[in-house]
Amino acid sequence: MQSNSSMPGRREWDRRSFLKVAGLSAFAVTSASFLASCASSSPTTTSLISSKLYSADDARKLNSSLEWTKSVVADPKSEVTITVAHSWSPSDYVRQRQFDYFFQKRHPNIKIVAENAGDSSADYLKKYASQAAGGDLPDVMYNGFNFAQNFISSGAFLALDDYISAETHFDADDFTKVSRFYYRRDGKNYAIPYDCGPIMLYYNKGIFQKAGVDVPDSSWTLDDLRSAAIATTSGTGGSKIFGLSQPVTPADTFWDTVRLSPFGGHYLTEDESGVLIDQPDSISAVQWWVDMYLEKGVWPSPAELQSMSQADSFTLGRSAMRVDGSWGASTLHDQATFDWAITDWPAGPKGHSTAAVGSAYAITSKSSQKDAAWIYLNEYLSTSGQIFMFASTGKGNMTRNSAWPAYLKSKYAPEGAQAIRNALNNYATSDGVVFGPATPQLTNAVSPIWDQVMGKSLAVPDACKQIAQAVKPLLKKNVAG
Amino acid sequence: MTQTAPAPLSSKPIPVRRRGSALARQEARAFYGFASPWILGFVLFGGGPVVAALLLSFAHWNLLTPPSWAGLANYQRMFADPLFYRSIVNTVYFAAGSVALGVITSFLLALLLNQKVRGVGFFRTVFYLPSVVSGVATALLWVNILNPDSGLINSILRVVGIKGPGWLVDPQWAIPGLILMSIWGAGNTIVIYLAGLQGVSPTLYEAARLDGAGAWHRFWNVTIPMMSPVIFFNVVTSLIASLQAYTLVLIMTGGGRPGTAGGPDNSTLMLGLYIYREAFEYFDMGYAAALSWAMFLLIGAATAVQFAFARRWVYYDA
Amino acid sequence: MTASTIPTRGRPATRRSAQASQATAERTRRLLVYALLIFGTVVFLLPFLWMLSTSLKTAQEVLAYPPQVLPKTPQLNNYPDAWTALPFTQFLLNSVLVTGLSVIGNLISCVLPAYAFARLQARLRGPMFALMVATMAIPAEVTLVPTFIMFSKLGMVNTYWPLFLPAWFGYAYFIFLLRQFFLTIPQELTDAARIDGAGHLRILWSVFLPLSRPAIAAIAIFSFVGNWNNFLTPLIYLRTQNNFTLALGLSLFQGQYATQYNQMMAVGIVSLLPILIVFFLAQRTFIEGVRLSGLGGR
Repeated sequence: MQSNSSMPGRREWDRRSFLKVAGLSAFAVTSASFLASCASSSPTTTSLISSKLYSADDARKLNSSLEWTKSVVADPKSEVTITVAHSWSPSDYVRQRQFDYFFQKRHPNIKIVAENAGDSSADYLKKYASQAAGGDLPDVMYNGFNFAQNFISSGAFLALDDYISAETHFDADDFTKVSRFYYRRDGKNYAIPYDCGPIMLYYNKGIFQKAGVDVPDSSWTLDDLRSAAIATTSGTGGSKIFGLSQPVTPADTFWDTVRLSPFGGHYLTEDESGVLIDQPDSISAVQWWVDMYLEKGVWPSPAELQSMSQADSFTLGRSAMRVDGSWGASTLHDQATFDWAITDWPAGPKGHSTAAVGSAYAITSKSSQKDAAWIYLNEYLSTSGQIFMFASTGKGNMTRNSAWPAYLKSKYAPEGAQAIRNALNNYATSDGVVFGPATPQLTNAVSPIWDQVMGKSLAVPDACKQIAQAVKPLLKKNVAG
Repeated sequence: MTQTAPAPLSSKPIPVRRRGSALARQEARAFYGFASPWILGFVLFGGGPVVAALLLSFAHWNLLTPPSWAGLANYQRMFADPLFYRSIVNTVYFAAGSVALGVITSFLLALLLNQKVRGVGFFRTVFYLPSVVSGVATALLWVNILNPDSGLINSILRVVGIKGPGWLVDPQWAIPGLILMSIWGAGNTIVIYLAGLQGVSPTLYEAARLDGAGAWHRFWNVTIPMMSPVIFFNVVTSLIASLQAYTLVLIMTGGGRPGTAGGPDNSTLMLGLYIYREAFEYFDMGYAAALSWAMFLLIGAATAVQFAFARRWVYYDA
Repeated sequence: MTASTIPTRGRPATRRSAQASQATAERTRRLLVYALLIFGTVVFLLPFLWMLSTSLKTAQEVLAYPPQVLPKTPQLNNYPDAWTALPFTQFLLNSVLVTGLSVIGNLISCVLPAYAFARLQARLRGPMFALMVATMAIPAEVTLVPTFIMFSKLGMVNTYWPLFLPAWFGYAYFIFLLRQFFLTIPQELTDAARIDGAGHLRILWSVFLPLSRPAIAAIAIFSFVGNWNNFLTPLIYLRTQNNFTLALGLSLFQGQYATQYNQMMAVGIVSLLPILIVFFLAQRTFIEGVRLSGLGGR
């Protein structure tokens, strides 16, 4: 019978495969136990690392040229470790670790364990919201303006005012006023801002020259912007040049401050609990912007936007102007193949304002090493710290005025960088920036409505009314939260 | 197929399983023993989180503060939410389209890749490739291809004289665009079909050929029935996957730009995407949990129906 | 008795013309197959080629519009630049470890239950199987955080345990797949083995596994790919950068305002290679006619 012919050599299977399986299992068990013990909390930086962008020698020179004032809080008597969470791109993270190296040299008893979740704040949030749910946050945490309040209102962060007022050299007034707004609650400061940049006007010199239009400057009004946008828009299809690189849209959380307020229009009430977009002033402000799109196509339509999925049209060299945060300058520095500069955001008939937003670092309230965390934070965000991390690397947008001269001298500062500082100290504001807890929902609710406006199937007044209706119920979350 | 069971060599009778008999109990014990890895896994890693997800649907939780009881509030909100119904319509539309297209194309591709030709290993790897390539790369490429003005597909259509639709920019055509895109992810189903095709005994083909069956008849009467367990598996799992799908939609229509991930006029808002948004953009875990249970019921119903119909067309050898 | 003398479609055929027509039929078949394969290759190879070309471009070329197909000069230095931007070699080794453990775990813990569901009777078998399939319907977003909290309470955050331990306890998709395959194995073979006194383990080992090599290969591929490309769980559980896996490291290139596409694609291509190797090796089991039916010996 077939009893043996239907089964391939049993003995062969037994010996060879059994050994294979046994070997693999042994490997599995030993590696598992080895790995399990690898939950390390040893410092992440024990030697000075170097990269093409940030050489070790330059870092050392810079570090020794800077003055590092000591905190009034004394260094711990024995070795402690603090964990710091960052959101850097791989190349920027190198600079961070260089800072940590020199910091540990100055404070031998404080060991830094840095965690980097990459440059995407969506990933950062996912990771640290989960950690928060598990009750296990790091000692010091990076925060974006748009989600800091979520953590603050849940009591996750420590109020820093006592530490700040105890310091003799902190100089709170050195910080640009607009930068501190986002991290305050009930009169207390819960984080120290490390960068804050305003929305500025970028322009492509070549396109202006070719169109025979004068380049923008600080004297411009929004009417000047409009005529320039129309004059520089030309061509069709793949060779079309746009006057403005991005659409005006309510999905832009700065649109109130940058686009509407100069005309006396508004999106939401100041405390984000009510809607103002359906008021006549607001509607006419929106109409003013949308008209140049409807009549002259000065910014890309939805279909045209799709073909530029890798970067915006300005970076691609296809638009004359871009309305964007000053933080975009360093990327443009790397990617642009044309001559460009920055200038002040123009004034409108009813006012001159632009939005300024940024990020901050906080100490978590459950940290067991608050003093050490404060020593780190104090140095990290001191003038020297900001020069080391942000002025010398071109990341810019330092929150301390005293750090700006170093930036303006560096090779990374774009042409017109003084305008950024000017904006920060004069007309940049947080008024009208939408950043309450309901913001993602607002954005997702108004986009479909706005798609129709951009698709030219819905008029602006109707759209504004629909937006008001869509948004009203969602705002309750801002009040409750 | 007309052979009799082999005659027993020894005089041991083939055991007959009777309910409650010692043999049945022994077999049941073996069952639990063999199934224990999964049972343990369900209890340890599955059960807890599932119960938590159920409880969460009755709570408000934003991860940062402790959960608070909400009773039926999430469910009431869900049933009154027009976006919820919209997302279900979108999801079912997408799932039906992509499963129908996917199951058939993958099967045909698997047949193609099962041919005895030189270099078939290379070809199989190529067809499998897109399904493991970085989602970001595929999404960006596909967005380019589906571009209404400059994309490949509309350019080809233009040559033939047809004005191509707006694809991802047009509410009517966004989902068909996504369905087309899902073909590239066919790699997994092709692999399963390939594995299944190996199990169709050549004896059966021979016997069919001897009986005078042509290629089509062999396909219909041998290949399909013998592959039916695998086809069934692929239909069930593809349906589950496409009902849950959202990552590609997120990358393609969202791409990090705020507010665009629902597609034009929310036409590509899938239930999976909606859940992801509620969970990780709005951090409203309670509502996300309620939506997840709705999805669970939707999938459960669809799967149960398939299992019920399976009796009619799935052929197991035992 | 050769096939050529068997009447086809009732038409009598002479031996020679039948053979000739068979040869041409064979040639047309082969031609058709090659044509389709090459056409399909062009379509399916596009994403990979696009990745490759992007990885060889400069940062400016990546953004050029209209999109250029080929870079002007291939920037081969993108590869070492990207690879050293982060400790990717360490990440690679980490991925090998975690994925290896997961694949082994999956294979062991899915084969056993599949056999149970296919061949062993128990009163609760039906409901349990339904429950298992039901677990496939629960979206992962909602169970992600509760699972995290569970592991956090066990003190397993920032270790690899949460990444590979669940793989040792079964996975519904694979169990379901294997069960389908096991059900197609003729009962006669099991009975024959039983008669010879084989216990369940021996039957599984000697009868089912050899006959299910393609299915097991398929599962090995899926398990490998799924774990190799998974970045969400490593993102949430791993905090020390040196412990990161390759997929997680890759995601770090994704920027808030600008993504370094060329470097990301370079690492992406390197990350693909192990998958391709595993796949190519595993698909060799998909050879037609290997399976012995064991019935009446043919």
